[in-house]
Amino acid sequence: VNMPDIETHSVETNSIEHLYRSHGQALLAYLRRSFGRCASAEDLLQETFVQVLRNRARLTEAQSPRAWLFGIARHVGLTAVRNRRTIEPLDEARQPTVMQRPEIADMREAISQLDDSLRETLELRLREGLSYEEIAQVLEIPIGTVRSRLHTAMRRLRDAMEK
Amino acid sequence: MNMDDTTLERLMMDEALGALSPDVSMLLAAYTQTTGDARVAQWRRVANLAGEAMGETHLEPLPAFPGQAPRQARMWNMARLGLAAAAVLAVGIGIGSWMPSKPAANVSVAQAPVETPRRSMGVSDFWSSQRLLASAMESAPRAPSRPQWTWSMIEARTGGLR
Repeated sequence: VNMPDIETHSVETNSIEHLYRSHGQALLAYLRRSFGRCASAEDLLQETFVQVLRNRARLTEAQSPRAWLFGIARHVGLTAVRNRRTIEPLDEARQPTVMQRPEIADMREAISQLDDSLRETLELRLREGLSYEEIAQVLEIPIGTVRSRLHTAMRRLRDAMEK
Repeated sequence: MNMDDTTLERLMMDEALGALSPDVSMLLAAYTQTTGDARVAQWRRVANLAGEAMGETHLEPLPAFPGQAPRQARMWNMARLGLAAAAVLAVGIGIGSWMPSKPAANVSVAQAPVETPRRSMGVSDFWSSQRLLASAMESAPRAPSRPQWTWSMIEARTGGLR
């Protein structure tokens, strides 16, 4: 290994470590919420960054590193769902039981009734705060599809709340 | 100016989801204010409730970055290597001080053969008794100080028994 290789490797490691520090917590929370039933979120996060290291050459091409990371995490989570490595308690079971406003409980119920694709898109927007472009990158769908999914989800939620 | 209602509603949903740029948001707000459309508030409420229902992202402490563990292990290995080297050095010094000192090396100096000056016989006659005696003394070993007498010498000295 010559010196330029070492320097490049060091720079790459530093940038990936920076990504880990910047987005690791959000990714961990996303993985636990979305795929925590099927696998340990820490394992999924580790696997995500293994994939990041393997595909680090694409990092420079990514328009949004955050969306790129979420995209990889989503793929890792979906693979875990297919493999069903371990079973963890449901996400809801982890949350402390507090008295909720009735309208929040109704909204939660309405969200749970949404199709997976609609719920996932809405969660990426409202919970993770990704832009439409970033959601399109994560889900590998056109931005128009993101927009239409969000609008459909909003309409269904409104209709459910009006009942 | 009338806007298409479907487009307007989409814009309202995008605004409620926080996806509009500030300029477009301002234009939309100005437009809905003039028309008195209450749907903007309705969509905002749906979006806010949905956000609350999903719950805030609970950030957990991160596990150590994978690269940190090998780095720490490498530092620990280097420290152990240094300690091991110091221990080996200390044991070596200890053994060296415990062992008896080495005897001085035997330096053998090759001595040049001593040239013994040939004695001058001081005799003129070749077969004289003095010469024979001197020759015998010269050839005899030097260790015994006393000359070893042989019959021939006695005969030579005494001039023979006969």
